[in-house]
Amino acid sequence: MKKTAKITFLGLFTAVALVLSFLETLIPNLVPIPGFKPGLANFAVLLALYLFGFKEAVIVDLCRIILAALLFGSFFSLWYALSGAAFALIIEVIIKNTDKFSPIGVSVFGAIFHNLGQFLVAVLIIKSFGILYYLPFTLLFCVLSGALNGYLVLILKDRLKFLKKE
Amino acid sequence: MKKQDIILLAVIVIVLLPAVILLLNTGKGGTAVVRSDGNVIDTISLDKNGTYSYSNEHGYNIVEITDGKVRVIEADCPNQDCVNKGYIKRNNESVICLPHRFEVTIKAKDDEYDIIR
Repeated sequence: MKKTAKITFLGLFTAVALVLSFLETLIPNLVPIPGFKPGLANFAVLLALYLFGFKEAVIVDLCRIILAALLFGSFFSLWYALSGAAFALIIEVIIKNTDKFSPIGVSVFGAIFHNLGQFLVAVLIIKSFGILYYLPFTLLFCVLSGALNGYLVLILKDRLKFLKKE
Repeated sequence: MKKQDIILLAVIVIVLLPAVILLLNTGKGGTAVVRSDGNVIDTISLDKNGTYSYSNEHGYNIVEITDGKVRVIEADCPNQDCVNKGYIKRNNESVICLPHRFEVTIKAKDDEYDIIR
């Protein structure tokens, strides 16, 4: 695949992820944890991981988070989002490389670790474990949204196979 | 979708669903414990309606108690997550304000009693 074409597609992925991130900010927060949302943007990142590779997924994820923080977040939400995303992407690569799970399983693992990462950061900042009360709720919710994201990747990675071959 | 995916999803739901149901049935709380930077700075009985103001080096939060429910009505944090959270009333529920390292948690009047129940 030509470098220009790849850059273009990565740009498109980032744009899709950014739009989804924005739409999620319109959903009211159910739990007092910043970042408790469906995480739909993650499917663009996961798709980049399947079609291109780890480096490209990191690029899409970083661009999305930095742009989202600049456009409709704060300096605080930037660090918060980065920690969750780092946890998620690392576990996704590990699980994907074991080849035991389909994108659905990989995405669910990513969602769980994104959650755990954010809770860890929240506990460290607030120096109190009270917030862990909400962990089972967010985990159950993120498993649903993670599976949905994974399903999208499962369908799209085959339909967009041509991106790999060119 | 592979067999492993289904096992993974099933295990998670089987483990988490009872936990969620248990946590939703902890009953009404009796006191609000206010923490700043991890230290308890105040405990308020939920029987007393009123507003309470707290501030630290990061900013201020105003807590309101009405009929056994607690919420943060005002804060000068950038994201306003604590305000948007709305009311909490169950045991062990909490409102946090990460930028201010501020937390309000609901506890039973007597914690030992809570464990027995």
